[in-house]
Amino acid sequence: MSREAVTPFGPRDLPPQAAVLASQYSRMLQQLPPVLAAFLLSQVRGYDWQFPAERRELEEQLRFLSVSRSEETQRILTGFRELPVPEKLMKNAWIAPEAFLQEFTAYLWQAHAMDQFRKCGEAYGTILTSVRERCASSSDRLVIVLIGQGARKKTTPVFEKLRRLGTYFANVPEADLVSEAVSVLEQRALRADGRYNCWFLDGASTAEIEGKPYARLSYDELRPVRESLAKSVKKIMNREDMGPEKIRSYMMALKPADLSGFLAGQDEVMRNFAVRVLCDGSGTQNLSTSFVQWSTREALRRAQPATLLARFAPRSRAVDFLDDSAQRDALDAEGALIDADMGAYYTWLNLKRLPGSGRKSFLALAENGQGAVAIGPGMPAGTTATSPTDLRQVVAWMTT
Amino acid sequence: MLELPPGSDFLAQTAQRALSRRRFLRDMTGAGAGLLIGARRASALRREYGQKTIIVTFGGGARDQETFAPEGQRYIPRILMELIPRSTFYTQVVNRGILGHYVANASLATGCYESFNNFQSIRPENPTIFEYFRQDRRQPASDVWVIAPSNGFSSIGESGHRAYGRGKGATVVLPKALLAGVSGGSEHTFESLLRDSHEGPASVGVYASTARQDEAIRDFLQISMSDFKAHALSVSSPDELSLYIALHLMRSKAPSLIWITLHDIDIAHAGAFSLYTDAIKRTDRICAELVRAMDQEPEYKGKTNFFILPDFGRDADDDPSGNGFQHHRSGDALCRTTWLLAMGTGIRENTTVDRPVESIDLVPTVAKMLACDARFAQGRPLVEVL
Repeated sequence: MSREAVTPFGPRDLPPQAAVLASQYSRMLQQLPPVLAAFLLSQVRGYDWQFPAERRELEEQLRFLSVSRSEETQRILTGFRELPVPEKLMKNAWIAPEAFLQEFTAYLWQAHAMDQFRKCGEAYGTILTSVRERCASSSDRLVIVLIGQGARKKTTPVFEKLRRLGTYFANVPEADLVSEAVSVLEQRALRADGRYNCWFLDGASTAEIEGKPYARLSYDELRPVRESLAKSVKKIMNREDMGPEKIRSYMMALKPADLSGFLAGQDEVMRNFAVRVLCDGSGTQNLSTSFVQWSTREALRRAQPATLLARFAPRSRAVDFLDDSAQRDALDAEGALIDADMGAYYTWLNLKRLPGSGRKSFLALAENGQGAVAIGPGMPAGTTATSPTDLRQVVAWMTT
Repeated sequence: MLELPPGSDFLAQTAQRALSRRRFLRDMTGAGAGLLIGARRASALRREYGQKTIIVTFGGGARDQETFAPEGQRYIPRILMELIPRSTFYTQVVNRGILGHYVANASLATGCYESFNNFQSIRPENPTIFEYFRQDRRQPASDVWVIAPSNGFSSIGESGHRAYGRGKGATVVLPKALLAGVSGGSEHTFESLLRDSHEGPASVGVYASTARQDEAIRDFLQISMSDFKAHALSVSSPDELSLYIALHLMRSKAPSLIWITLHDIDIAHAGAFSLYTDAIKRTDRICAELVRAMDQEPEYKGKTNFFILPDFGRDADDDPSGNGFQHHRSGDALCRTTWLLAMGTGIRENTTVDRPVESIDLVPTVAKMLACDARFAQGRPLVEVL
């Protein structure tokens, strides 16, 4: 069934630039299978606060779908059309795409159609991949991850997954590691084009680096926002009809204007990014280690920066998403080291997924003196270097 | 929210994963492990079953990498060293149903893929093994128990099936609800034990609705609530409360069928790998303690069938539509494929079964052992243990 038969087109309350984009492609969007239309419209809704890289990808995706007549594209669209969509959900695909996707996901599980959907998604992935490659920057990328802050040395083996992928440097002095990493970031930020091309994501506080030329987000500076979020969620969670799904939907619809506590001077794009990090993925990323891992993944996926520095910090022992006071109690540096080690591996996986022909260099370092792993050009996999080496030297080897 | 999986050859990945899974699990069980290839041979050998059955779901959601894969074996030393040598081990157990904990556990208990909303406490549509057993064997409610982790599970004991249903299923104990009921206004002391779900940011409703669960259950259990409360002060995990109740039941009532749903592992939703693996280690220990109790309690020693299986896995690291171990939403092969360990009276020891089976095969198997007819179950009996 086509959209025209169901309801007038257009999600409610689209922000200004998103409304222009939706209207530009309204004809094509109306003819898409409902799930694909909803998927694209939910992305269009965020357009005003998207990073340049994701804007380019969304625009190119819409353009491609509006002009492509290839057999392959038609075959992929047919796959989506064959997905079972209950009549009662259909109209929401074009007017409330987020609600549609939420309900449709539940329906796919219930109808045992998730595998069928995965096949469609994988087929559509070939379109996405080519779109992403066409839009991608050709610049080289460098990601530095610092783990082990506050942890004792050698209580836990680290870099087990990463070592087989790159070169392990056993002898990297831990003194000045953070300032050296920040300095590398700064130098690259000064040379880089674009506002969101260099990032620092910190599991503690980045107060000492105010006013620097890169996008930044820290766990500590978001505390007032988390408190505001907790207050907002607590307010609605006691309603009788509130279950995990409804709370999740509620959080996914939250915008910066619904919360308070943002840093003065932080732009709307970054505020929006922060809210999405805290509220998406079920809103369970409230420990400092999961905050760094998740925000790093999202920054890489969405902004596709040329340089990113992520620093993990000790996390709270208590897991209470709605009580930040628990976060300030006893911190667990050893547990955080294990979290961060896995987080570093996931960061490498997320860097690897980025499109573009530029070189991808990855460096993970342990602040507690357990060495470093470098993956990228000139770094033979599964090897160990024992001679003393510092961060700058390893970065130079990988990037020049 | 639904996300589009990116381009890749999912089927090829699935096949590859299944292959490597079989290989490492076989390697893990050692050169001395027997390998059952044909079902015919198996069924010809086995006749005597235990009179009691204990089923433990290794929940909620553990992956190969953190259990039986080489890098995961450090987290399950007790299962590897103590239980596997005594077990028939199924290396590929596929769950084709909904990957939500309550609905998945209900599917395990009915032998059918249930399809209700995971976040609502709904009775399964199909009869449970508890109902088959009680009806066919004319057993009282006190002979069949479920120990479950959260509010949602309160309806798992009996189905909405018209031939079975209300009053014909298991007695369900929610240890957290019991604790909430006796905490006497000091719930904050037990906050970490009373969290209802790890799926979202809030412990919705906590135990307000069931905090009074069940003075009747308390009486039925004949458990000292002051001892239970004191024990709760000494533990750090809800599953340890479940263990406490299970051991109490085994000693005091010796029911024929006990179903224990463990859930600590689902802390993985917080995204902290250390908390997730700590929970797996704890679950490993709890399983070993249950087996030790089975070996020691006269009512169970030498006459019990013991099963352990996860309800499902978690998302793969390399699936970009998920975030690795944190969630179980992608529906990928790793998420759906787990294992099953069967041990006890007459079940072959140190044996590996490589053929793919399904998680709904558990009920017809247990039904055969307990001499009842799981007539509506869709799974097939696991002939290697029958």
